[in-house]
Amino acid sequence: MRNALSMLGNYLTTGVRAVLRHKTHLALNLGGLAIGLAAALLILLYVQHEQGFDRMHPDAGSTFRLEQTFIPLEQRFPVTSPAMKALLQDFDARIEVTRLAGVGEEVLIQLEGSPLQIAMTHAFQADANLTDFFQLEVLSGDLQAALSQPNRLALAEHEAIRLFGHSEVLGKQLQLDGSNHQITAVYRLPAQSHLQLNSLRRLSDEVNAQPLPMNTVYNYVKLPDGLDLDAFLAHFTELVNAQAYQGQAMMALELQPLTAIHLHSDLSFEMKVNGSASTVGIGLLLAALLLLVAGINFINMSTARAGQRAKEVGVRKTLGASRWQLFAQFMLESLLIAAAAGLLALVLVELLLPWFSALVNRPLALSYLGAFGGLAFTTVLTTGLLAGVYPALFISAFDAKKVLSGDFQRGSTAIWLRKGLLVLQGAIAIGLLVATAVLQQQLQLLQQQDTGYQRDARLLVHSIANEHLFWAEQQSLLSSLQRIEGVQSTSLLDMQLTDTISQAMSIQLPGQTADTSLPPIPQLGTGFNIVQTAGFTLLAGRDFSSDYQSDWYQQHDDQATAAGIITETLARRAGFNNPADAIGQQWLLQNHLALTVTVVGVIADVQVGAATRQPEPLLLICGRSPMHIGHILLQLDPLQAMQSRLQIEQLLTERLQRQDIRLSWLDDDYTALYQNQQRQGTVIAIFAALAIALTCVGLFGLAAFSAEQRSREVAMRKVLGAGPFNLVNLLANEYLKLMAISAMLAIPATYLALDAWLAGFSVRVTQSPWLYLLAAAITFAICWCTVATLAWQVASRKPAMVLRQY
Amino acid sequence: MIQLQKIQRVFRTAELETTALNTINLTIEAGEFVAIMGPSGCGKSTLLSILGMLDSPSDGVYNFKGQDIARFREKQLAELRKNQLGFVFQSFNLIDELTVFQNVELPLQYQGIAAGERKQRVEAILKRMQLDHRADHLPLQLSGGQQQRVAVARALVINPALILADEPTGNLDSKNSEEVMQMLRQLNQEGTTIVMVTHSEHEARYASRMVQMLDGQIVSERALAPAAEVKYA
Repeated sequence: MRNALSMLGNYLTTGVRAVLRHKTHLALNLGGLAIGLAAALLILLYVQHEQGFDRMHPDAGSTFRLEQTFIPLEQRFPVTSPAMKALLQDFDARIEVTRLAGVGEEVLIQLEGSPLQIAMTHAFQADANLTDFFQLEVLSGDLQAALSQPNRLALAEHEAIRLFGHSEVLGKQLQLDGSNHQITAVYRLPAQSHLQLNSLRRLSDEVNAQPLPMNTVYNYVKLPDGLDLDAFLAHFTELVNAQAYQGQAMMALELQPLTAIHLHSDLSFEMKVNGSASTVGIGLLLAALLLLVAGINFINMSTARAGQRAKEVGVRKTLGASRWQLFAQFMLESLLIAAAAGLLALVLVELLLPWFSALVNRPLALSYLGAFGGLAFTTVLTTGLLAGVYPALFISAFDAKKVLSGDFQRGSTAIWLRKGLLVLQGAIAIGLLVATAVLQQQLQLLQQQDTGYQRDARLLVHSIANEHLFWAEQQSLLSSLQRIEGVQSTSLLDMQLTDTISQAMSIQLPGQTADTSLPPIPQLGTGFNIVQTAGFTLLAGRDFSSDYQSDWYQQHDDQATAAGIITETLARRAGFNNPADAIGQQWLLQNHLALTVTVVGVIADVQVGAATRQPEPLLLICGRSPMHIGHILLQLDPLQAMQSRLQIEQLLTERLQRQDIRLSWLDDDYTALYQNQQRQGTVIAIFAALAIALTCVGLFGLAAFSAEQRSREVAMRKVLGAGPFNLVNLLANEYLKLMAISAMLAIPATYLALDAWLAGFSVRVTQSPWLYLLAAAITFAICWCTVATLAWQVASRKPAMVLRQY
Repeated sequence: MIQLQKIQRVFRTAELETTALNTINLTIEAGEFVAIMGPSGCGKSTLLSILGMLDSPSDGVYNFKGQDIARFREKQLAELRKNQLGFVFQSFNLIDELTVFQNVELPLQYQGIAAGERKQRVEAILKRMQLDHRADHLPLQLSGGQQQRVAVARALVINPALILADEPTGNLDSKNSEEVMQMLRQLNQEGTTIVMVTHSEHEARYASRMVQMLDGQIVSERALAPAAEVKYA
């Protein structure tokens, strides 16, 4: 044991002294590895965070969210009916269900002694067994009481602070849905969860009594082991279609595992903006590439410099060291360098964490004794082992006799391997450059995409109770807004253009048979002047207008009428290739009240939401909305926009007695749609740049070595009359050839990968060959400059000095 | 102690086959001091490598202390090497990163000898080589002669049965050369068997027997009387 320790000491002494003798080499090796490790650790920290969502809940592995795909809309929703609970438990008593109602709604509350109303978002009604499903930390009070008794309310800590300025709020009263509620509990939810429950109260009898076609709650289910999920889903799909939709195939029931919601679900009505599995995948790929590039640098520099340790290997072998002992010695050295790089990397991670957390928009934290410690240790150890194995094998295999008798030449395998690895690095660099550029182009394309509506100087007022909008007797609120200076036109929307359309109805055309009938058409309730206010492109007919009183939705005894505007795709589907021919058509919409819509205008297609899907047919109906809340859209004079916005906010606060009127520029909402992609783009750009920089470091190290090796040749050529430029090219050419091979490998691989990625978008950029040429040219240029700098130094030496050394 | 019978060493590359050693027969008794001489490329270094078990013959029998080791595997050779052989090279081959003391200690570490005994033996040998005051120096801080003395100390510290010296004075001036040769002779007189490759007729005279090689073969062998005289004087 003591002998083993003393041997270890011996290895360490030799290792440390040998490494310290070549400080540039050490700095490049250590620095490169540390940067690669730090970057990879940051990314892995993010990945770990993303993958840890919702895993803390009890039985998280067997919990699912009930979801359904609406076949006519071709869209999946995370909401189902509260009536599902009884059906499920009738089917199998072992199935546990908990429900959360209040999806996408805002409730208005009034604090004691305040005349103003405040909107509360994510205010949920819940079943009392909620805590069997989710880990909620009760900070004070009694959560069970709040969930089981009427007129009680539990507040999330942050919501209590938002409303009252502190979290000591037990016993306080507030007005909600016209009745007094007492706060009886304050709780905290884990941040790493898809849930956002700002307040909780008992599930109302009204919700409890809702029938099967009303999809108003999140149903979470715990399924018993051994249940055949496919049969279960098929059974309930059939049951719900039969009971709720007269046997039509309207919906298909689906299950989303609780732990998969954060990364794999991006539906309308999610509680939070969820993460994205593709970002995590790209992150993992980047981390692997960065470690690969850093590892390659390490291998290349270690084997290139191995010749300098050859004598030591020869001597040790002669003195009786076995190959295994030498392998262990050099492996230990690699691990030591990896460990040192790991420490440096941790320092970098500490320094960069705040910036990185903001970049990926996640509250990342380091726990050295927890998951992060394990992650860092594993990453460093793996990198050290993988990067160390080849150099250790290579060095320990030196032939003692050859080394010591002086006819030692470095193996040609090592040179080929080094060149091969360099080619790989070059290919990674070129691939990343192109990918970054294409990604940015695609993002730009999406954001500049013609959506069919205008976004400049368009202001949106969010979530106003429809009593003031669609259902108001007089449009006095809009008239007041219209009088504000700088407001050019105003209208209403019952869904946001940057969100998803979630209502659809079947349309019956005159003379239509069952075979030719259209599937249910997505629809949007709007106010007057919508074409002008939203900036739609009118192809035929006219805008909704208050000059035509019949435009606005009106209920008669057993039927209703309203004016409609349709998109050109819908006109075409209805058989009108010339938009003007559709004007004046009367379409019947079957609802609980038959609605006759008179088509008054045809507009160009509108892209609702993000441009990842094809624009759908859309029907705008004037003055009708089944929603509880609506939005006001205003077109402002760009020169007075800021001024007008202030006045609008003021007017609404006064008129609606609301403290928290939320306004946003349509353009910002639109940009926010691409926030995730943008973040992805930034992350990729930064780490791609890093990978390229690391490749340069490796190139520099290798080039420095080869320039040194060839200094005698250079000196001889100089004696024979070669000029400096000529010499620089001589040395650089070797590497340029390798980079050419890199380009040949990288271009097809990158093209195919990007092609697959772009296929997921309905609008996409075409990949330009120039981009590939440019990326290759940039890589060539960087490579040439790196090598040339070094070559210049070598070529500038006086030949006599070089030759005398030999 | 050593018997070589019909030893062949052939180097093969894709295009070329070179016979470095051709039917070498050689016997070395314990206590001998053998000098191997010959022009460059005659195979004397290859012979020394085979004697030193750094290389294996392509054919023939190598009998070391009664064992045929020609077909031994590398691991067995390493075992023999670290217990029985001491090497002295022309270019000293000290490890530059280790001190004099650590260099000399290294073979004992590979033998697995305990720290206390190692210290004692290294100190003793350094004292004998008059290097005890240099124990903490790095090799590059010493003169060539001193470095070679360290190399000899390193070879001797394991009490080897055989010392193999490959042109031990090749990189030294005449004064230092003399010093090293005197030392080798003294070691031989104390009973250590030495095989030395050299270019120099003068240095060969320190040996008790001289083996002349040419083109991979032994062309002559003779006992050296003057050396014997010196030896027994």
